[in-house]
Amino acid sequence: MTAPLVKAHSLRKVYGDFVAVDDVSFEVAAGGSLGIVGESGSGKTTVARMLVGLERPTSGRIEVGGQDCSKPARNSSGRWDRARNLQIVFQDPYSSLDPRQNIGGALREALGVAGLSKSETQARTEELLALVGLPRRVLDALPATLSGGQRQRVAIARALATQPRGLILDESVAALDVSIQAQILNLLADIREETGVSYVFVSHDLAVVRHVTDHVVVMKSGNIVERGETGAVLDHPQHPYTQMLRASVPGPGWVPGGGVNR
Amino acid sequence: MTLLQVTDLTLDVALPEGSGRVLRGVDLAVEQGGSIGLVGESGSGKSLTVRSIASLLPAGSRRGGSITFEGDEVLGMSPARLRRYRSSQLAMIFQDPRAAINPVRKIGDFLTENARTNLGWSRNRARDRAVEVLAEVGISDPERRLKAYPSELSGGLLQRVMIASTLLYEPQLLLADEPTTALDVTTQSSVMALIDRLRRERGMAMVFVSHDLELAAAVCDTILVMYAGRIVEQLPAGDLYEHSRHPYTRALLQARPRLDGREARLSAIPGQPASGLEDSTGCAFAPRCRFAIDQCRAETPLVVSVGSGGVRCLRADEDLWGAP
Amino acid sequence: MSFGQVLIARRPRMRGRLRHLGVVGWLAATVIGLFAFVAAFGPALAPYDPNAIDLAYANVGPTPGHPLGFDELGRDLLSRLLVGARPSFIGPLALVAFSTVLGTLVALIAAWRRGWTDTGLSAAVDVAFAFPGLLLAIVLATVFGASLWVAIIALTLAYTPGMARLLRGSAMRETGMEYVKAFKVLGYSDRRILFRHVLPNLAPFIIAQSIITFGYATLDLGGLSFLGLGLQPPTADWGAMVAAGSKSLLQGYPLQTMAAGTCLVLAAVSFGVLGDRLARMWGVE
Repeated sequence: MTAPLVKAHSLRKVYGDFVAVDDVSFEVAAGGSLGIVGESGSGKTTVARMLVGLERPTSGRIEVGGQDCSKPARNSSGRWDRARNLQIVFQDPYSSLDPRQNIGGALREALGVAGLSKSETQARTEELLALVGLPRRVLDALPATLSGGQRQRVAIARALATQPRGLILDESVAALDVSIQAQILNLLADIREETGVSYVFVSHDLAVVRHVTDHVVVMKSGNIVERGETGAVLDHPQHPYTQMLRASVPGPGWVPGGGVNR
Repeated sequence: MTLLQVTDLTLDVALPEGSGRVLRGVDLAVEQGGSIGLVGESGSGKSLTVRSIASLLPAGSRRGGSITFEGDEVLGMSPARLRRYRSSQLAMIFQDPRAAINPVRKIGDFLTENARTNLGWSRNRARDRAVEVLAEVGISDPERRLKAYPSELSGGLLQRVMIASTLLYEPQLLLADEPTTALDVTTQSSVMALIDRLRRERGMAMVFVSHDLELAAAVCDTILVMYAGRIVEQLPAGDLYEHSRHPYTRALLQARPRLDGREARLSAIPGQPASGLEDSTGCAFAPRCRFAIDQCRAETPLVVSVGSGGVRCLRADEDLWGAP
Repeated sequence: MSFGQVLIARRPRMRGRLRHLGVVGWLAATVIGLFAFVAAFGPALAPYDPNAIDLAYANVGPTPGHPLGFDELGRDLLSRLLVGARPSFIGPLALVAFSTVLGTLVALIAAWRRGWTDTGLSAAVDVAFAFPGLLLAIVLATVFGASLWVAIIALTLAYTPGMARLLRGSAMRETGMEYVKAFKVLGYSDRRILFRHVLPNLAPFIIAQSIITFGYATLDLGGLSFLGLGLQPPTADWGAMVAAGSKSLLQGYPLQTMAAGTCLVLAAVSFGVLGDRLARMWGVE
């Protein structure tokens, strides 16, 4: 039994009086894919940030690849150690790229910081572009000239530059058109197959989570209310909140308000 | 009887490099009490269509075609008539309630302002009615909420306030532009149920704009799918899953992952959604369509009547999705 | 995402169309260009020695060869104006440069570290902001003796808090952008993120603000010179000339004060206008 890539123990995050995350524990298998499902205020984004070191947990432990990563890095070498373990792709394709930097520059910088030499960088840049399905000509383009879907591909390519073992996708397809969303979801499946990277997929969209993840935890108001294999949880939700979530998704025969308490 | 009739609506907007056509001949009709869903992706023109109906167009844009409301041509209304149209016959709900409600004024002011300035109501009458409508949309303790500021309310609550503001008078047509896109799915469900109930109680017609095909099908009678500034398919909502015919509509339905099972691969549509600006000869969807033939690239298809709807596709008569 | 995607340039960029400067903008730019030129070559352009006193010509009006006449000590006014451009330009330039650099530093540190650092710095800035620059200049001049550099230092101390406050808002917004977070997770150092990414994105705003501040600086330094707290005589300086000419003004010889004053105001307004137009052109608020 291979060791899990990510282990979160009793994570807790408090802002003043407000408890954003309360006693959250989960594991992500190496090469696995975990979904964190919840609505706004559930704490799922806070959990994602704690995993990559953008937030400091109030208490609790995070282990990635066996190393303790509970606290954000104190200096750049600490940051660099984390960078090799977990990377993140954000929701908004418009603000996650420096608007003044062309794509080639952005990728080369990430690779340079990762320690690659100039010649290695060139080759790896082309590899990354191919991996995310972008043509070479985007290297000279500025983010403003690319579409939302293309920018997300760039964000994914950049996140993979450090060859992380795990990738956190924080609502990464939520801002995309349906037809583009499908392209990116297929891309993510391909990448996982090719590189063996693990995913933590944070989303409010149950159908997307169903497609991308093997296991899921459902969060509400900072707590995990249900967990299990994605198919099982979505087909036979046990917790009333999960049932309510499931019943709120539009589909054939769906009527608004069904299953939801006013 | 037809409440709203849009005929051959075209819209040219001012761009840094000149002007561009973003709406290319939109036709639609809404009956009294009816509801149509305008569905599309980025660049489809669905938002601009709805804004044209309210005559809320960007500066420097030119429109063509006609929009008539109860027989009156909207695009030629005098300022006084336009004000009456927008303040008492039409109601608009937008995607982001925080952008539409002044953050430094109280909810009560927001609700009563239109009534007092445009309809000439007294302060007390407006206030009492405001309390009534807040209760109608399911907001508890309405008197206290009147004194609250927008920042104190959640997105869902604020959207209910927006809906309440449309109930103060008796509008005949509700224009809802992605009203629940920014809300959680459970909140979306309750807000849509509210809109549905209120609509039926008052016999209000609705034009509902969304990128979510399934949501629109659940709350509207008729669905109009838009692509690149044109309507490409129109059909009764009940026919959407089984009887839609346009390749784009079917592709959109298939592109969504399924909630009840997992497919190995989603059938994604290659390329990007086109906008009206990029129009060239032939069908705008042809570059991305798996059924495109040479003729599709040469001529722009006209709408073909199919059953109780219409399809803008040269191959509408063919059975493209025959049993394997 | 429908319409906005097509039309709106989402971020301030230092391109934009030069023609958006407008007639007024171009006018302002021309005036400033002239100003800079004269500041650079003033002494070479001056037809006469600006310091040559000839009491026989005190306050004499324009004569052939002396289009602006003479000041109260018989020195050629035009020459003094031309030579006086330099300190009237260099002074504000130094002032703006120092206060911009210091103000940017303070704003960046507050925006980067947030929390207590931000609270502390903001409080300190608010306190410092309350000190009138003029008073500070007088105090420093009394202690260290009046000179152009004393005036510049005093006003730098007075301007920096204002700049810091002005820039803090944009700095907070920029450092809050998701690309900053992405870079942190990618392992980039603070220095790299701040100087290679945040600062260049803030540049349009900072530059537009500096140019506007140049206008105020011109007037403030001119004012200090007027009060005798800046450049000391006999060096020509527009502010001092306004003061020196005030006595002559009362005696019915307004030319010195008017000429020097007009130059100061024209310069100040031009900077203000250019800065404002650039801000609009680059799309910063």
